[in-house]
Amino acid sequence: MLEVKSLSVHFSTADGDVKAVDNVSFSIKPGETLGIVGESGSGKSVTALSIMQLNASPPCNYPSGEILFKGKDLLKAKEKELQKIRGNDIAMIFQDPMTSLNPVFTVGSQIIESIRKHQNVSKKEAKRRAIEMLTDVGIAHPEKRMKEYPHQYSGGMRQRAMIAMALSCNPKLLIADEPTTALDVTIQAQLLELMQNLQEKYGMAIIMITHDLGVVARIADRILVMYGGTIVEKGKTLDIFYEPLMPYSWSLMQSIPNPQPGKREKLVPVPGQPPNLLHLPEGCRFQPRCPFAREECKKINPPLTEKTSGHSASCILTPEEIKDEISKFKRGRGVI
Amino acid sequence: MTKKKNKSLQKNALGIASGIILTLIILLAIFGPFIMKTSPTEVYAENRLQPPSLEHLFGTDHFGRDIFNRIIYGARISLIVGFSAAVITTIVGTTLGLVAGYFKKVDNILMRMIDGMMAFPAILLAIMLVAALGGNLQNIVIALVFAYIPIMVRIVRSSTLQLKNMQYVEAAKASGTSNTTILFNHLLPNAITPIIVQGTFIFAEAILAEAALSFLGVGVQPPIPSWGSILGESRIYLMNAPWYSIFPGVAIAITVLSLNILGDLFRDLLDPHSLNSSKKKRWSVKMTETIGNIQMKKSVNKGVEK
Amino acid sequence: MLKYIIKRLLSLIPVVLIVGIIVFVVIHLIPGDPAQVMLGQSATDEQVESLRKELGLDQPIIIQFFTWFGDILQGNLGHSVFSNKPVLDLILERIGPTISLTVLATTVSLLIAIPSAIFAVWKRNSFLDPLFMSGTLLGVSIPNFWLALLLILCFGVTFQWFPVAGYQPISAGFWPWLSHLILPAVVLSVQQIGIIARMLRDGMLEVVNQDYIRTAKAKGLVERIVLMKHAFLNAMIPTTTVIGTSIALLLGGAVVTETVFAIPGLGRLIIDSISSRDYPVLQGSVLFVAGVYVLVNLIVDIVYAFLDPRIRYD
Repeated sequence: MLEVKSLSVHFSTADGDVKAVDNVSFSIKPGETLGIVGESGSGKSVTALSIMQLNASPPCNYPSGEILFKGKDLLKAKEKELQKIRGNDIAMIFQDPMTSLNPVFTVGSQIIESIRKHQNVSKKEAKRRAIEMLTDVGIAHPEKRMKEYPHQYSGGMRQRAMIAMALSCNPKLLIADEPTTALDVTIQAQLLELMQNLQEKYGMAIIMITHDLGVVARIADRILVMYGGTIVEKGKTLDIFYEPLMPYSWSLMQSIPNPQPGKREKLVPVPGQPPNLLHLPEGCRFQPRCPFAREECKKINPPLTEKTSGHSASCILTPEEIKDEISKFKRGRGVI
Repeated sequence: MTKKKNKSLQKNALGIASGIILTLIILLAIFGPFIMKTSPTEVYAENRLQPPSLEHLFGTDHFGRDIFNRIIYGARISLIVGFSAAVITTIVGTTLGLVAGYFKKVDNILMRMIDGMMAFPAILLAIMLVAALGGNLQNIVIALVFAYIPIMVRIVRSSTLQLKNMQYVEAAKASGTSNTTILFNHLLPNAITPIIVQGTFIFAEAILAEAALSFLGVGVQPPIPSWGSILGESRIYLMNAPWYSIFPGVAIAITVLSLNILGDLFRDLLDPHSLNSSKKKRWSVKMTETIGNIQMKKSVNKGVEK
Repeated sequence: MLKYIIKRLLSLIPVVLIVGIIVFVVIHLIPGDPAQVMLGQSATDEQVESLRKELGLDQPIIIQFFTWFGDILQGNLGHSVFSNKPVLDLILERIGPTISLTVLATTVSLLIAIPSAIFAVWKRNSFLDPLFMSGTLLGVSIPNFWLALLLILCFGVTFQWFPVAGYQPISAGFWPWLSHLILPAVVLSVQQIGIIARMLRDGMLEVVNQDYIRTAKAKGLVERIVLMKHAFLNAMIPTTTVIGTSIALLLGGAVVTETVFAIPGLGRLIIDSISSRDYPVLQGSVLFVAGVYVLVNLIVDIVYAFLDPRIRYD
């Protein structure tokens, strides 16, 4: 349904071009959930905003690539065509629900605005539909809540309202950019469940962007791991969790706690800093922080290649070598 | 080259140009009178209302005095009045603002007084004061200080209120640092940017206000030349000697514009990451009369939200 | 909302008191005996003494203040020393031209400032932005009395399009009224345009980077609507305050402008009372202006609260 082909996104700054996204390709099928994981600055949000063509331009530019949606290249689409797609075919929700709704309009009017923009319906019909959406996302007393302003909603409520607004035109694809990061853990769980339920009901595909592996583990069918503007590993969720083929993905997983009792391991943060996108390291981008780095890693930047069926990674080590390294590492730390 | 960089370069270039122009005007004001051949106050009846010529660059006035010469002398008066008003306002206003922001009890009383002063249009307060005190240079400066001090106090106070709750201030307090040290060694250096910017704008504004006062006849009295008093005298000759009115005004406009551009530039250079959004809007004295109100509203809002 | 208005009204009480004290103190700063000053050197001692009694100058200063302030709160601003007319009557005679002038100037400035600011934000990456910025800076840097002289020279003397002095009430016809006010209103609005347009632009540029603007774009809204509806309304909230305060500038500027254009308004009254040493008139009219200004700002604050749902709903 959506296919991104060798997309690159650059931001021109006073110090030079920042290569925020570099040669990224992926696709998503109808009804599927794709997780994009990475540290801040890995290019995951920029990739998402590129699909919507919402990166501030200038300074943003697209030196190469295609974003095909229903056969049309969004990078070449006119602003008018994009406006028809945004909110209608592709909708998006953002990280901070506290600031994502306009404070001077009622929540209801903001949902109605979206419906009326894309669907040729009467005000009354749009209102009815907005109330229905608010009910769907689990907001009690939707008629009353429609007339309230964002500041009268709690954070979780606002994100629910954002979801209602995003889904109000029945989009084919919902892009969720860190939708739960700013919320409490309990509310996070509720919202993820809500999104899954709504996905079943409306059948849209979801791109879930997050730095939280727990979130993608719960909800995603497939995962892209991004590092320094490139995809470093891509595959089915379970494959990546049980058999990471890129040391970075493995490091990421080492840095989150395992909730299962008895299986507690010492948390290992990913050492070092994310790469400076202005001055990328020679060779593999992760190599300066990689616990398993070899001499040749400093020279070769391995491309993303399929290592096992449906599971690709960009690392010169073979799956077996990585497995060895991981167990060696664990023995070295005295944990098994 | 990116647009952003271009923009800041443009701004810098404009700022440098303003700086050069201001320096020239100041140098002319200081040294100009020494090289002038004629006195700015002596009457040369035979030269009455001569249009600009090589001999009299800006023409002559109704007493045959060279207008260029008078503008140079006027620059002294206008710049001295504006500068003194700006410096005194800045020093006194900063002190009061720091104290008001830091000590809650003083704050209540002082801010009510400031609110009262802000109920007068600044120029009107100045006119009234000068009318009461008499129009000599010293009184004009006093009047202007009173007219512009409320804004300075409000700006410094609001910065102080924000900074007061910063960890490093709390830490200094916890380690027993005296209040004076906290005020002048911890708070003041961090609030200095808006103070400098505002001081520059007040300088510009005070030059305009002095000119207005003198133009209206309540400020600097003839025959002493100030830019405003020259303009005031020129009014009745507007039809037959337009140059008489044009050149002093150009002098005021260029000086004030340069100062405003510099103030704008200072703000951009010194304050790349402003503490709060409203600070960005502090770009002119006139505008900042409102900032206090906005700040007040914010605190009211906060109270309401709680 | 009601709570906010009450709070705001209560905060006016100290302001009004301080305003009274300031005017009272300033007038008492005048060196010499006010009665003597008002009557001039030729007055006899008896005349001075009786005026002193009439003005209550023989009372202790605190008593003087409260008597005076009490009178003012009842609308009694005293009498002119020269015409012996009540000051309030004099002010009301002169208020018409000043109201006409300020309303006209405000209308002109809003009509120019708001569209140009929106346009500047819309075309923010083009050459228009530096042009706009220089324009607003120039607007606040030009001395208004000088601009008045230039306009008189250009449109009044050279082209002779408009009369250069005087005032006609609107009852004398729309065009006579307007033609007398066009030049002074332009003079007054130039500064205001500079301030309001710049404030609105800065506010909108700040708002344009907010998350909810991105949300609006993500909904597929047209850039024009995003700017004019979503960004404009948010930026307008702080701008209302500027508009309120710039009324102060207008009232102050009116003093200068009315003098240049010989408009018999409140500003002229103030200047005339200074040159004729008619201190009760000066005192009364300055107080009146301060009162109007406080009132306008109260209204602006209520509008502000009305525009901002975060205050309105509580």
